[in-house]
Amino acid sequence: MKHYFVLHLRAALQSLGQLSQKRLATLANIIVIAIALALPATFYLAIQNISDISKGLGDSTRLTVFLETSVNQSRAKKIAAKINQRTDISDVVVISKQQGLEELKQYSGFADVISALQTNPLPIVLQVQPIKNINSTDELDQLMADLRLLSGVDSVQLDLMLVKRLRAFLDIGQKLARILGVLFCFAVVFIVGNTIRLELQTRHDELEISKLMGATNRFVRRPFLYTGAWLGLLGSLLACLIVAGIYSTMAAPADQLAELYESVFQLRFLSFRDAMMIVLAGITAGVVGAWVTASRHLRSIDMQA
Amino acid sequence: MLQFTQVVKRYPGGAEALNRVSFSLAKGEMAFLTGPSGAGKSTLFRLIALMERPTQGQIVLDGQNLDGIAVRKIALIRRKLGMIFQDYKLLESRSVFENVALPLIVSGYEVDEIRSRVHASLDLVGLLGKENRQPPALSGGEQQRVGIARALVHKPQLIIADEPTGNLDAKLAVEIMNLFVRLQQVGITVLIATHDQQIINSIGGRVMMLDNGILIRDAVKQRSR
Repeated sequence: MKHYFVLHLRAALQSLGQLSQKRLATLANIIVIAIALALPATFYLAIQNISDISKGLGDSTRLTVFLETSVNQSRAKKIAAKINQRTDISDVVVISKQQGLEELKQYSGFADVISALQTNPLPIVLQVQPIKNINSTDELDQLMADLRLLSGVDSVQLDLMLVKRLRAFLDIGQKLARILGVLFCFAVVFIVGNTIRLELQTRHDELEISKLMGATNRFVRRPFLYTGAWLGLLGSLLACLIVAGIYSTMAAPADQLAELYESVFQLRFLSFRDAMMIVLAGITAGVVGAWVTASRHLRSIDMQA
Repeated sequence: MLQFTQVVKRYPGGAEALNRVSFSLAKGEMAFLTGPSGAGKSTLFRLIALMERPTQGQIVLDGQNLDGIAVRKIALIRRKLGMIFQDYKLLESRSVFENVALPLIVSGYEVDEIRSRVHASLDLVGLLGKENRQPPALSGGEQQRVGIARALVHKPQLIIADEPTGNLDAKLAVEIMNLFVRLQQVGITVLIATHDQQIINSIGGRVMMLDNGILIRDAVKQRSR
């Protein structure tokens, strides 16, 4: 067991030594791998943050309940109180006919025309605020259906289509993030494979001699696998740093935007689990790239026998 | 220890490097392989080292038929051999110590064992003190001796040497040949390819002669006084 550990340690240190001898080339490879991993990671993080925003749709999703024109202020307050008793409602504001008319005068641009009206045709309106935990459009649909059934309620409005479209975009985005992640991992496999191939060509004679001295393919391949692992590890760590840099650049503007929308939203960074997944993906891609290339090269040496 | 039975090696294009070569070497036997350039000596060695496969015939090494042997077992076969090459085949970017230690490293020997065996091997060929040099900094004769030390370090069962004294002066060449004789006396089988008739005459023993891929002579030559 100890001997096995020593063999691996020797291979790991040998490969690290080889990488450090060609600093510029190694650095270039690490940067390319880091960019390849940072791109899908950043995209994934962006989707996660947008998803977080969409989960809080309850905050900014207000229902407008139009009461029948025959409903007076007293009855409107009773209806509002009844709606407020629901566990999925956080607040109900009653907008009187007069308040509604004043708002219309202010925002419509037809103040003169509205002032000339003999009677106020507007109904009393209830601004109903659902609780923050309402996430799905199904729940909102159900809430609206329940409110419509109340006596005195004429209609209920909410622009659900916007919510549904956003959710659909997020689904596409999440799938795209996964696909990009896989594609860029393949890219890392090829990048590392190419680096190993060049290394193998340079050391072809050395490998042949080692095999003549009785080295197995496993023995010869081992340092190259560690080279792939080192490149994957260092590239993925740099990728996490790149994502951190992007996050620190975006955090302040995102906070400002959230404030303008009176939201408590905060930009989410990579979780420890996500960061570990990136590192694991980098190392795995590196090892796979090295394995495939080294095995192919060793087979070509063996085929001469 | 080694048996060739009707071995033929034909290359693409029809060139026949070996033509129905048959011989056997017993354990602890020493034999010389001679012949003009292109006779097939190097091809014969490449077949033993499993660097190539015979077109026809059978090669048996230490009781194991090399015909159709799996690629993954080749490494284990080669660990039984001590190979000395005409072109040395040293790792130029590694030190003398690392070159000689290579057969032990790939076989999984412990560090202390490697150190003591390498020093002993280098002492045998007179290269103690040059462990840290790299092959390009050595003369041709010294590089040849590094190759010899590497071939001996893991105590192989069969030594195949392709012109092992080619770059050595006469005195050193005799010393190396005496070393091979001592190894043979302790049970190691030795097969040496050489043009050097003086060496063969001084040592004597079994001489196999190849010409155009055919084994034309296999006889014992008496040591000349």
